[in-house]
Amino acid sequence: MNYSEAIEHQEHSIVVLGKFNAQIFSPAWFGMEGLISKEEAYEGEVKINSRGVSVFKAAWLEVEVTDDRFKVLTRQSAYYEMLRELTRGTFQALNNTPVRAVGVNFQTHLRMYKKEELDSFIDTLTPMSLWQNYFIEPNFERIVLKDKTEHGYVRWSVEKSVLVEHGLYVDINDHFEKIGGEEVWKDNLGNTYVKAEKLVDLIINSFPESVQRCDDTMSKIWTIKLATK
Amino acid sequence: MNSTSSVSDKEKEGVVLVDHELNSHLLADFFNQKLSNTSPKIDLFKDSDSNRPLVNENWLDLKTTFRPAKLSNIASKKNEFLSIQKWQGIVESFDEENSTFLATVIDLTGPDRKKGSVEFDVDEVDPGDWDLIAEGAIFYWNIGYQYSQGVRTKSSLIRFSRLPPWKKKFIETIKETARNRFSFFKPDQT
Repeated sequence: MNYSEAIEHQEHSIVVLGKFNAQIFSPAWFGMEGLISKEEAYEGEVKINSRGVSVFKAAWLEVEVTDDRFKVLTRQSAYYEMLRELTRGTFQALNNTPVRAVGVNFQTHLRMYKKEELDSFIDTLTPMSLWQNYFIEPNFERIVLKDKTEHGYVRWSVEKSVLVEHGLYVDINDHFEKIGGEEVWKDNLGNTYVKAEKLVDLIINSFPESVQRCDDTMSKIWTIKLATK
Repeated sequence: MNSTSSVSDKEKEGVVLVDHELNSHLLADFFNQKLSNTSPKIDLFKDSDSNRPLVNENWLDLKTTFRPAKLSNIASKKNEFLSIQKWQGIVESFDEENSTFLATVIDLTGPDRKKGSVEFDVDEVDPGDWDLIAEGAIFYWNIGYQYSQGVRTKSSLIRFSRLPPWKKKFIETIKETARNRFSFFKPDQT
């Protein structure tokens, strides 16, 4: 069985780190740029729109922007491609914005039918017998792993789902540190920034590969789970 | 008295209160992410202050305790579209008179990315995207389950790509690059 058949709930988000004018990110702006439909812009629900923070929801899309972080999210798998296109369109419109890193994220809750199925998988990841000799009542909370990639790293964590009974929660973050292009700015912490137009190139050239990497990571986790049955 | 036909105002009020409390507990647990087997049992049918019953227990044959975790799946799929098959399409021709368009679609779900040709009614497209239907336009076609108010229905969703048009400056840069390359490869006139 493929892991996708066990998906109970999934979110896909894209996070860009940079320097942003948070207040401009509103349903109206996205509508005016043609990145969402007029109806979606009109129906958009603004939660906060102030100088340093902008948070809104418009149909399938959720947006959170602060001075240094841009995040777009969808909880509907039908809109995954649209989310990437919206990010590309946003930075095509704001091509001079300084950016320094980008993350492609998938948060997935997977269904398991029995508690034993989940316990057995978790015990494979972190055998409790190892810890029980040293502690009173050790419990599995979360496991985080990281692997390097051409542009940065892919990091994934596994924990028990809080949404699905006996479910598994997997968080995958494909992080791009190397966007490429000429450095336009350096902050106090030594982070270097490039123009967002380079991010647009990255989205066109590397996002399909990134999404594939996230899918592969998920499949590998699921293969381990199937082997523990 | 027939219990199905004559419900007193007080009992009606009780039902409303129960719905309200159930919803509040579900939302509270959902956002605090406390859904688990160890969630405390909540007595939804008693007023938390006075400990008096909110509904006539003879009228409603319901258990008086409830574990939020059992309803967690409903909360997680509220108003979602879960895609089970996905295609990317390109409009080959648009028949405005008959409100149809012919498209080539590529399967994004399968590993072999099969191609096909499909005719769609404009009505199948989200009305907000009707302006985008034109020859060469890219769209995404999903078949999946629409969850709405806890009810699942099989449904089709077509949304058009909304990439902004290229800016004049960008087009000029491309033209300039093309001119440079052309002069580089141009046969020597001398």
